[in-house]
Amino acid sequence: MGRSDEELVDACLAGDDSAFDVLVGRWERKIHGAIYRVLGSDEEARDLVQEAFLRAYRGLRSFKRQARFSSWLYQIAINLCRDRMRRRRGRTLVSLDELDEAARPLAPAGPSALELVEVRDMCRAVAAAIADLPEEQREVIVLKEYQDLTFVEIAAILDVPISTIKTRLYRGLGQLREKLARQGLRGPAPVPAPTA
Amino acid sequence: MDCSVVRDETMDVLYGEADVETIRRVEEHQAACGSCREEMEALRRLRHDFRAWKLPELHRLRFPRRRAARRLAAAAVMVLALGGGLGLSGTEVRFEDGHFAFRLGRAAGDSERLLAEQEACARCSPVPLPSTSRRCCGGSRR
Repeated sequence: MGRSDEELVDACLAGDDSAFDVLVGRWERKIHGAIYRVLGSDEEARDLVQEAFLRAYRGLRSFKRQARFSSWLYQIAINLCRDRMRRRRGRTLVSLDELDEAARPLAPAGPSALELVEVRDMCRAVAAAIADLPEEQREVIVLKEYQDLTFVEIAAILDVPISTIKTRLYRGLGQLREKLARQGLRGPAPVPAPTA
Repeated sequence: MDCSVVRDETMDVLYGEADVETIRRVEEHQAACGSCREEMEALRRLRHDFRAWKLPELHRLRFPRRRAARRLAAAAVMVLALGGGLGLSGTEVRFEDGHFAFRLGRAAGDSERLLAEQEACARCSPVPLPSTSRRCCGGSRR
């Protein structure tokens, strides 16, 4: 079994730079996925992934062991996304070319043309709807839905209570249902009626 | 039970983080509340739709390592210092006919030219000019 993240951090602090390469290889795809989906741009995501690992490398000595290394890394990535969003004045830009490229199946014997169009349309619609969410809801949905983190981990990364995370998630999901329904992709389920 | 009360627990069930007791409570509520039951189904469908958004391919990052960067920087400083030193001492490095040619100090032509200038100045001036001076009176003292 391989070394844990924390053991690799210790090795790196002791002068073994190759240990950090292992950490990069282990987490780069996950961190890229989070940044890409929060910002909506692959090009920016690639820049920021590099920046996130550089910051982590330079700040390894400040890494506190109360949190997991991955949570700390996500925290750095989310902060970089927020800085970038501030510079963009809150606008999230989704590249349709990048989305279509990602939606293309890798296997030659894939789905039919009609299914491909449906997948492409759904991909575009989901990406655009998530990009349109308020930043705090988008962060939670990306971390929960695409990074598969627990509520406890997300609360630690974003430094807010678990109940706040669940509220943001619930509201974000509600907005996404409505947005996709407006595009005719999903019929909205009825809003729960208040009970006495 | 109020729908808003089970909302947080619904999120736990939806994402598989609920314990057995929480699952039982939510299921009991949904059995009695059609709108919450339908909402749960809609959220499950929505989660399925999220899978359509795939990631672009990511090639392995080239992360600059600190020691490699330091070694490169040290090598660059050495090359600059050596190049600067050679340039200042009048040394010349050339590549001719497939070979490198090195010359330390000033070229023979430079020395001869300096001597000729000094001789010319000595001829037109009673007081020899300092050897470092390249200026000549140009015969104006005659």
